Amino acid sequence: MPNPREGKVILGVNVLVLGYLPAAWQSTRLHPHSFIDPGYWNQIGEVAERATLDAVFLADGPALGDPSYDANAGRLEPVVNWSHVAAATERIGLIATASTTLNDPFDLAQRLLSLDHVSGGRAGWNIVTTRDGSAARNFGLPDIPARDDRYDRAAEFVDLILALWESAETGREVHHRGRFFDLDGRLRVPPSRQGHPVLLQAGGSAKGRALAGRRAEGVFAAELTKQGAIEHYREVKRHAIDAGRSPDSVKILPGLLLSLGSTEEEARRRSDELHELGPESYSVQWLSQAIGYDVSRLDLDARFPQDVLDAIIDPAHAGGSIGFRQSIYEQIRATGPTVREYLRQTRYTGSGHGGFVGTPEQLVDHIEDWWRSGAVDGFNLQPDVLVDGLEVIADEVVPLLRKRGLFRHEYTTDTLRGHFQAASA
Amino acid sequence: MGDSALTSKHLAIGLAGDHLVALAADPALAARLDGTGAAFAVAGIDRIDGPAPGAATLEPTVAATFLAAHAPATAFLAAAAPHRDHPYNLARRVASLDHLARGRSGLILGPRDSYAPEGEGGNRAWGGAGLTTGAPPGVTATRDAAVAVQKLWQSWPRDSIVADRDSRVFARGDRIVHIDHQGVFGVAGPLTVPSTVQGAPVLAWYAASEEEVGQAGEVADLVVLPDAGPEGVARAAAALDAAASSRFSRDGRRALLFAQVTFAPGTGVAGFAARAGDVAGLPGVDGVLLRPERGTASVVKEIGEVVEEVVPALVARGVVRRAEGATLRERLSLPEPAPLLVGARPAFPAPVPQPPLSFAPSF
Repeated sequence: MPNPREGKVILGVNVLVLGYLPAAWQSTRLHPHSFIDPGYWNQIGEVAERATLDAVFLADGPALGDPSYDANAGRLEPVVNWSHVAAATERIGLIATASTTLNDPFDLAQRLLSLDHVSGGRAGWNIVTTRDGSAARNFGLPDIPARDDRYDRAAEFVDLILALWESAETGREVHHRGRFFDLDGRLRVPPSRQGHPVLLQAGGSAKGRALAGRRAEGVFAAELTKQGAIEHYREVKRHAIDAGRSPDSVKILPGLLLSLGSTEEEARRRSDELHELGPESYSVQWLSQAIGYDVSRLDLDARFPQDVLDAIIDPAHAGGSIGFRQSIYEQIRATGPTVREYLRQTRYTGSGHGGFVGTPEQLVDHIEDWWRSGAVDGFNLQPDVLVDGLEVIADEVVPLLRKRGLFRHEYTTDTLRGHFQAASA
Repeated sequence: MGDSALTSKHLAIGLAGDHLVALAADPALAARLDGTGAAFAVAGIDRIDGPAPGAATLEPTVAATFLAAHAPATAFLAAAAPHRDHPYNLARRVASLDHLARGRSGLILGPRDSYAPEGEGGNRAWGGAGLTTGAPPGVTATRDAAVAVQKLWQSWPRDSIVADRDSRVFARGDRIVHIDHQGVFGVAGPLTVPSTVQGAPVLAWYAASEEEVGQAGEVADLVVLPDAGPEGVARAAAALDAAASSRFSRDGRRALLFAQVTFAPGTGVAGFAARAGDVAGLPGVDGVLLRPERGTASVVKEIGEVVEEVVPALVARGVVRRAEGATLRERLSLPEPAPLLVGARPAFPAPVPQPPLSFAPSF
């Protein structure tokens, strides 16, 4: 008998432009310029709103990755992207990622509040610190500052942005003197229907989770196992309580990579085909970047060497997100696969973010199980190819969730903050 | 008015912060901008045309993108200064706007952002970000930002996108280049989006001083001159003529000259139209920028007066003509920008065709 958790599941979609797999552009329903086509973006917003989802979400970094085989490298600026979608929609939340390292807090505060205002209180800010050196070089810096410095700056940056948003409501000037910023002035952007944008946080490091507990209203987590997710869920909620906040005030929403089919076999075939259509070296490159180690130098048919495993979870070791590295480490430790086996396994179980390959019914079982187990407040779904994957979510997944009483039948709230709060029992 | 098509000039409308707030709140009002036939509207002109901020505003790229979706025949220039904003962010947001507005947009720069707060560092260009010491804001920094932004707009050529399902190559990554810009700002590039349907967004400069007009003429497609008499306009036109030979793009063009004419609500439309007609008739003037001041009536009412009375009066007198063309460059008869990045460093290796598939894709 499942425990009687009350409330509703929160569902967002991480659009990742065309879908999370690099071969997404090869869908016959897309054209070469879909990723920059205003009509494509209207359609995404409209289908997400038909599904009564809580929000659509854009990841971001201010630098171009190689688009030779992957249209998803091309990225419109998220706040501008959502300003366009805001005009075509009425209820869906619009979450934009923006860096605390490569922005001026005044400029970003007015940009985000402007989106929040024109959308009628539907904006969210996903706070990231950016770890990509090529992004730093677009801003006249030789490299990105070290991780600890980035999080110290992020903490002050977020406090200053909140103070500026408050100044927009009160009309009173901010007088800020800090380690990173000095500022005297106020925002003259009108406050939004929800006051100011919802704050989300994506990093999985200790400082990242602490920042989430202190300030964030949502955490876009990376979880591969339910047990790990439960532990991280409790950790962030504890941080919130320690900061004098209600544990309900911060929603935990791990990413979930999706390939769906009408049978499990069909879903696996879709996933396999999409992986085969992508560049051959993609999974090796992805893992190399994520763990900061050139995986092509490993024997693909041997298990991961111990020194490589040790380095994956060493925060001092260069590499990708600590949250991703932890979840990759736990996944490898769980089954001890060869490198080749691991790379293939990640097709179905996810890589960094958790993965799911199966039917809509099985997905709904998975969502319900994790939600009732106290591992999540909802998910940020990441379809393999968005243009049809989102339709399956709207037409099959969401109706099943509704039938089980786990998801809204229609919007009962107007703002993103309202959507999040309505999920609490 | 048989010869009005020959003598009439382009029309632009300068929208201040409180206009943006009112238009964003009322999509039907925003849609009425389409009826003006203006070549473009400036989103947030009060950010760059004076020392003091207005009572309320929206960030111009956000406002322009949102309003462009509600006014699908209107082109917008987003007003900005490289002050609290960085050229990479600025280039990226305006290129994104231009994609989403199907080539009906651009950027209008000024040296200072009147909405920027005070504070150590924040008085310097990009100093407020707390990453570098920044540079003095002003003409030099603005000129450098204009150059960096225009290079970024060309760093990913649109025709490098091949989207070939047989070889499974999406783009010729080797045709995408770093801009390696080293000036007031250091910007490596490339931009995260390809060049737009009109080649690049239009780059304009609101030039408050004569010194600025000459500098603006060397880097911008279009220069806006604040309200000026015949002598001031003549000097600006001469400065633009002189700048044509020293343009950084070496395209030899003379930047378009738009003369601002301020309209004070309630002061009589006929008198204003006559004054605007005089300015439009001055030699060297390509367009007039109608800049409604705030009066004592509601913002909505004042926007209505501009759309329903002032613009029709200008059209009726043959002062301005209705813009024609899908993109802003077409409307202004501006060519695609001259190539700025010949011989630049490729950002990525040439893609190799992927091996043939052993299956026929089922989706």
